[in-house]
Amino acid sequence: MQPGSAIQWHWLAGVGLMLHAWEGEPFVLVFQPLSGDTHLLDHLSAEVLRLLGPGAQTAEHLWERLLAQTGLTAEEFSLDRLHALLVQLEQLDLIERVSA
Amino acid sequence: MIVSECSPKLLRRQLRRSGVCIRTGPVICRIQSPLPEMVQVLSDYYGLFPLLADARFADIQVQLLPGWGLRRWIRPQVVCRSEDQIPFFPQPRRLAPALLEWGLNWAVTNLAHWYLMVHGAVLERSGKALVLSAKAESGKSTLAAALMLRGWRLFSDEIVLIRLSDAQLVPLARPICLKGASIQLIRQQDRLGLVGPTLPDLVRGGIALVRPTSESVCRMLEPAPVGWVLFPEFTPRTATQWTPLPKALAFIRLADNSFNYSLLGAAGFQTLAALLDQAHGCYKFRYSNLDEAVGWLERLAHHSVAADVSASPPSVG
Repeated sequence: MQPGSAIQWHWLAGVGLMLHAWEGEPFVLVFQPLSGDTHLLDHLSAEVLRLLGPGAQTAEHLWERLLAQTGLTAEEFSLDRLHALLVQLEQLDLIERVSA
Repeated sequence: MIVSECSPKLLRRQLRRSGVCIRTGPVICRIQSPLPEMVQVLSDYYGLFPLLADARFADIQVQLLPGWGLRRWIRPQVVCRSEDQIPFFPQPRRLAPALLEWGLNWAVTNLAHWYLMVHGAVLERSGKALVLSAKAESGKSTLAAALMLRGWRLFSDEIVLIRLSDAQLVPLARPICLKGASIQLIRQQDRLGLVGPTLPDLVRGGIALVRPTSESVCRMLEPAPVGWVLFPEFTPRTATQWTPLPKALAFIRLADNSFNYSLLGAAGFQTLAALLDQAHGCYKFRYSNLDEAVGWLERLAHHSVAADVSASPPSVG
């Protein structure tokens, strides 16, 4: 996937992901009701999922929102890293890409 | 009426015909068997349980039948049948009491899907439940028996029943099944005469059933919220060690040890999360000395209940 492409991302169609975490813990649980799989994610990955939601958006838009939400700088978390993370979440069947 | 109030003659007749219906916690079990020794088995291990004389409906049914063909007479065997299935290999007839327990466990785990079920033992003290979740041979039944003999209320030694509506733990209060060296260990501490005779078994080094205490049976309709979740591991020649475990990791372990987490889907996820929301703490727990382990658990319960502190379990020693 090329940065700046017209590809958008969203949660897997028709799937309401469920997230659960406990205060002070480094992990977030994510339940994918379609597959029945439960995943253990770090907080940043979970935040990406939360911000993404069921509505489609581009990686660039998501990246801007993520930096604003978390206070991370572009140096600390680059767009390329977000792209890599999105591909990983896609491989877990948590999100999917669509052409705009 | 409880089982011990029923005459042996009537029990035997019921066992041979429509079956004896016993309530174990929320589950009504129908037990059928033509084996005459099952009358004594029921009296010994289920004497305090409510007998439902006119129950038309049972949640689970288990039949214990004599072996087929020559196995009726030569090295006689017993066969367990439930829901038109034979879930276990036939066993030597002397193991009928243990096979009844295995059959009931099998039936509950295959049918009681209105609960989230996890492999493990549960005991309660001061209104909070301790979950001991582990695979076989981890020493959870030994720990469960030792704690029960110290006054903890037994919920179960094999199946953690978690109510879907509020994640409360629900008792079954059925006998504990001990194997091998743990039998003698528990028998030494048994001042109440709860440990039954050792059933010779070369494969498992002997089997003995431990009757639940009368308090466990009398209060078997009282659920409790979880207090602590432990993942015990018996490791010979090691000091007692505990390691706090993040709830998210405890969740994954409990889901792995569950009988029906996948089957329940989102309800399973929500219930397990709600259970851990209530927990004071989760621990990996390694032990070899039973007295030391029990002492640690008693201090953990006392400390948490008295101070309602979740993050600082007591030191060992």
